[in-house]
Amino acid sequence: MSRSGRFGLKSAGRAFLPVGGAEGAGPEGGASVDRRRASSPPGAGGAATAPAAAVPDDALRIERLCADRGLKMTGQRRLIARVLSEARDHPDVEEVYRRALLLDSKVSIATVYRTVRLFEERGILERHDFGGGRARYEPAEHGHHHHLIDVDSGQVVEFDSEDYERLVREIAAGLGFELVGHRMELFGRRAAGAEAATGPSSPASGQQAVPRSRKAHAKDLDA
Amino acid sequence: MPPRDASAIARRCERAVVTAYRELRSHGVGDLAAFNACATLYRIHHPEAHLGEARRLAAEWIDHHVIRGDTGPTPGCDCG
Repeated sequence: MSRSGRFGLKSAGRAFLPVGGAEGAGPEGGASVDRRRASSPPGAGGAATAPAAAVPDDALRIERLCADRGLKMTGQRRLIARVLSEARDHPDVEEVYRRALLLDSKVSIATVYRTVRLFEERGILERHDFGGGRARYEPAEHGHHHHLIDVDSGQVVEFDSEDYERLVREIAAGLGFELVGHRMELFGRRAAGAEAATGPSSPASGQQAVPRSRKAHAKDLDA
Repeated sequence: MPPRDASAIARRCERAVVTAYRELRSHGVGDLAAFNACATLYRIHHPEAHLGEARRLAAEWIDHHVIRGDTGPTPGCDCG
């Protein structure tokens, strides 16, 4: 973690809100709203405005990962890769489909399902289960972090914590293991009077939260 | 999408899914609704299957047979 705080909010504004949409919700409930642009744009602190001209490089990130892994890119795969690259939340497959439909009315949900699964199998996407019966996705090369899910709004807050990382390493070591991986998902309800974390704040006593956006992380990767 | 003969598909469940998708679409049902109906149809054939598995196979088969018009073998269950 590059900041002084022991907790870091990767992108306080990245919100997943379950979606409802084009052809109605799926059988198990996709009642939701498209909030792709409602979340904070890329940039430190989530406060800057991302101009439209800044989008293309980001929009090709997953396509480049596909090329690196030798995936043949058809027009529809390219389209789905672009939708996923531009996502600032953790969309499920149906939400990816709805966004893709806005760009190409001929895309099929079957193709989206199959492509997302292919990307997952190739390690390009990471799947999460935040409850609700549907898998959510985000780019795999998004850096190590964890998620806190607001059970009321569905908002997902990304964060990292040096304390937690140290603790799990100690637990594994105490059991005689070297830690090779772990995952934590917190489910919580915003405390009365608490405001959404949009910048440095104090999520826990004496621990400073530091916003960190996906774009900032991408720069770290490229460096 | 061009109508195709699904009778060459070996698996009964796969045949049913592909035929149902084509029929539903030809009757004006939307893509997402038709797809979800096909995932449900798969689970009628395979009640033991998880919904995620049903969606995965329905997507695999619909994309293969209907969207891309391929004729080769597909992954899936062993039912005849």
